[in-house]
Amino acid sequence: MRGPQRPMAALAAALALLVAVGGIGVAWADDPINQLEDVTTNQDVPTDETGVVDPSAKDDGSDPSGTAPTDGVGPESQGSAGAADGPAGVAPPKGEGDDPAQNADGEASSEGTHGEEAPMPPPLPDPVFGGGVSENNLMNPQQKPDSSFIYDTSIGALQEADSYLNNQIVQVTGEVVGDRINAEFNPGFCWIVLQGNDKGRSEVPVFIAKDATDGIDTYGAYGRRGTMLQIRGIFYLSCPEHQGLTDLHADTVSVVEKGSVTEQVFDIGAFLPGLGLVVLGTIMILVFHRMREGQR
Amino acid sequence: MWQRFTLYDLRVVGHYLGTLILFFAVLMLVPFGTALVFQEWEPAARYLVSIGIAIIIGAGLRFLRIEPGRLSRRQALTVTGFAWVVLGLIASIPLFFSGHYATYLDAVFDGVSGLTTTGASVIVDLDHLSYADNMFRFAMHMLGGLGLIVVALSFGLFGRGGGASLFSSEGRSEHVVPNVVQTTQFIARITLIIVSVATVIIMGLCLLLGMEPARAFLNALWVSTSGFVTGGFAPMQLSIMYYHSFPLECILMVLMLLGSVSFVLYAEVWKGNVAAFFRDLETKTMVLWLVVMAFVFTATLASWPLFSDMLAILRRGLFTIISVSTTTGFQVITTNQITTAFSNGAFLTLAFIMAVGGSSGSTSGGIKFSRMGIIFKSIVANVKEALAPDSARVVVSYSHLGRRTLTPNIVKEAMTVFILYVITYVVGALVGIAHGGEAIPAIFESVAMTSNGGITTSLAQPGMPATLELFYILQMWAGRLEFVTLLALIVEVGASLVPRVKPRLNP
Amino acid sequence: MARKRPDIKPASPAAAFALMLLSIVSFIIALWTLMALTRILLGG
Repeated sequence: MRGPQRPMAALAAALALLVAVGGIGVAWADDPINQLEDVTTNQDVPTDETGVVDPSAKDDGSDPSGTAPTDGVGPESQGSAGAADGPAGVAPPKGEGDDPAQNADGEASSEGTHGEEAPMPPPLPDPVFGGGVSENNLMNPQQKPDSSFIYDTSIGALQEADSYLNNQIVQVTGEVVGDRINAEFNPGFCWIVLQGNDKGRSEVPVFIAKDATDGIDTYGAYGRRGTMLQIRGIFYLSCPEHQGLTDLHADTVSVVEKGSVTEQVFDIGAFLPGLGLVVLGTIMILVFHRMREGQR
Repeated sequence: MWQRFTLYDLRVVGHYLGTLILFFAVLMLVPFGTALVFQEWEPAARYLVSIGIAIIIGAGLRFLRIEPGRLSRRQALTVTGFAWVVLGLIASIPLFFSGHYATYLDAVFDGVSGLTTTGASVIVDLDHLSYADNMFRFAMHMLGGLGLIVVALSFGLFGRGGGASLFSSEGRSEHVVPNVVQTTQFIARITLIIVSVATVIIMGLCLLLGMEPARAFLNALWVSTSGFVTGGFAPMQLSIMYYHSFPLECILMVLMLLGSVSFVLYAEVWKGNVAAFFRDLETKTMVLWLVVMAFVFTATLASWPLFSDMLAILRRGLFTIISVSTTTGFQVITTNQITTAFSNGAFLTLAFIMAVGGSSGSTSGGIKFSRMGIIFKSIVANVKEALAPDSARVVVSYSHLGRRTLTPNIVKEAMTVFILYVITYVVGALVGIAHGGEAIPAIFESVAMTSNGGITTSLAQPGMPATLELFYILQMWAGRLEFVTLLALIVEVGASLVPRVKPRLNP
Repeated sequence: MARKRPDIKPASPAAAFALMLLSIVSFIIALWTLMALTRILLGG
C-alpha cells in the first residue's frame, strides 16, 4: 500500500481489528466451500451504534438508510465533507434525504432497546451544526440530502439480478480477486472483479478509476485472500457503455479489510505417500514387463 | 445376432484401458510440474499421490492380459467407449481433493466435461484455484480434444496391431493420410502450431491489459487451448468477460472457427489445396447456417429492450453465436443475462445453434454440418425425384473429402444419428424438468450437455441432484462418442449379461 | 460432363493457411455487417 501516511491505512487497521474480533477466519486456503461462516456483508461491516437504527428493531431489507452511514470510513466523513480525498477513495456517505430526522428517531428507539443490552452509547453529535462529532461517528451531518435510492445488497443478488436492479445504485461488499485489467477504451479506468461470500462465490466486474484501486493491497488468488472492498455505484444489467456487459460502475470505494497471503510451507513429509505409491506402481510395471518377456 | 463379450474380450479391454490410464498418469506430470514451478506444495503433493494411484490402477489392469496380441474392432470400440468415463473417474481424484467441489460426483462431472471438451463446470471458487489444478483442467481439454486414442496412437502406444481399429472407433472416419500414426501426428502438429501462435499473440494482449507476465502466459495458454479444441473451460469464473478485450474476443472467434474445421481439410490445405476447403460440403453448410442464424438471432433481439444496443449485439452477440455454434462454450454474457436479459426467442435460437454443432472430424460437437448437409441434400433429392418423370434417375453428388455421391446408406446413417441426437436432447430436457427445472432452461441444458457445448444456465450447478448429474454425464459421454459407438457398446454389454440359453439336446 | 474447375494452388502451406485465415476473418466481418443491417431494419 502506498503512502503510509494516509489516514485510510490507520482506519483500515482499526477496522481490521474490529472485524477480526468479529470472527473472520484467517486460514481460508484449503476449504473455501465450508467457509460459510466468513460471510461479510454490509450488515457485518461494523458500525457505531450511535444514531443508527437498530437492525433488529426494524425490517432490515426495507430500510437501507439504517446501514447507509456504515460506509466504514467514519472518522473521515466529517473531515472530508469539504476536502476530497482522491477522486473516489474516501467519500462521505450519501445518505437519504431524511437522514438527520431519521437518525433522531432512530436514536430514541435504539437507545431504548439498547438500554438493557449494552452500555449507554456516547452522546450524539448535533445533527444540525455538527458539533461534538466523535471519531467513531460514521455519519456526516453536513451531508446534503440525496434523493436516489440505494440498494444495499449482495453480489449474489446481483448475479441473479432481475431487471428491477438495472441502472440502480447498489452497495455491495466483496473480495477483490484476479487481476486489475486496464479498460480498453478509457485510459484512466480499469476493471477489477469483486467476489461475494455466498456459496456460489458470485462475482461482478467493477469499472473503477485507476486511482481508486490504490487501496487494494492484495488481489485474491490461490493462497491469497484479496482486499475486501465495499463499493457503491450504479449496477447495469446490460451496460450501454460497455456493449451490454453486466457490470458495476464504482462511485465510492472503501477498504473493509486488508488482504492476506497464506504461506505454503514446504513439507517433504507430504510428498512421501505419493512417492511411495509411484514406486509401488513402477515396480508393478516392471514386474509386468518381466512376465511378458517370459511369455515370448 | 448380437455378439457377446467373452472373458477374453474383457481382459483385453481392461488391459488397454490400463495402458491409457498409465498414459493419463504421465499427463498428470504437467500439473505436477506446474505446482513445483509455482511452489504450490499442497497441489504438488496431491498430484504426486494421484499419479501414484493412476500408475497402480493402470499397471494392475494391464495384468489382465500378459501375452501380447491383437485388438479386434469390437474390443477397440469398447476401449474407446469406456476410456472417457474411466479417465474421468481417475481425473476426479486430484480434482475432488483440491477442495473446490461440493460433492465427489461434481468432480467426476468436471473430469468428464474436461475430457469430452464440453466445458461445463461445477467447480466452486474458480478464481482461487491453484495454477496446477487449472493446468490440469486444460490438459484434459487438450487430451480430449485431440482424442484420447489419437494421442495414444501418436506415441505408438498400442503397437501396430491395435492402431487402425481404435482410430475409426473414435468417430473419425476419414482417412487423412494412409498411415494412422502419421495422421495422428499431423493432427497433433497442427494443434501445436495453432495453439502456440495464438498463445504468443494473446499473451501480448494480456500484458497490455496489465497482467503480470506469469499470469499473462498462463491465461493465454489456457484460453488458446480451450478455444482451439472448442472446449470451453476458462481460467477465471467470468469466462471471457474477465478480459474486457475486444481484440482478444476477435482472436478467439477466429480460433474457435479454426477449431471447428475438420482436420482432414487441414491436411488438404497443408498440401496447398485451399479449394478443397472452400468447396467442402461442411464449409458451405457452415457459412449458410451461420448467416441464417446470425440473422435470426439479431432479429429476436432487435426490438427487445433489455439487449438491443447495436454494439452489444455485434460484439457479444456474434461471439456468443460462434461460441455455441462451434460448441466451445466461452461466455461474454452472464448466464443470468441469457435467462433474464435475452428474449426467449434468442435463448432458444442459441440452443438450436448449439444442437446442430460444428464440422465432423473436428473438435466440435453437436449433430454436425456433414449430417445436416446430407439430410438437406437428401430432402432436395427426394423432391426432385417426386417431380421428375418416372424414367429419370436423380443422382446427387457433393464434395466432402473428395467427390461423393449421396447413397441411401449415407443418408440412412446421417438420419439415424440425427434422430438419436434429437431423442437425447428431448429425453435430457424431460429429465431436467423432472428435477424441477423450467422447460426452456432444461432444453438448453440438455442440448449443452449432449452437443458438448457447455454453456449452462440454471440446472447444472454444484451439488445438483445426483440422478440429474449422472444423466448429464451420460449425455456428455454419448455426444462425444456420437452415439453409434456408444450404442454398439451398450448393446454388446447388454447382450453379454443376458444368460445364454442352452440348446436342448435330443436324446 | 461437369467442367473441371481450376484449382487454386498457392505456393506454400503458409500461403494456403493465410488464405484460409483471411476468408474466416472476412466471414466474421460479413456477419457483423449482416447483423448490423438486421438490427437497423428490425430495431424498434
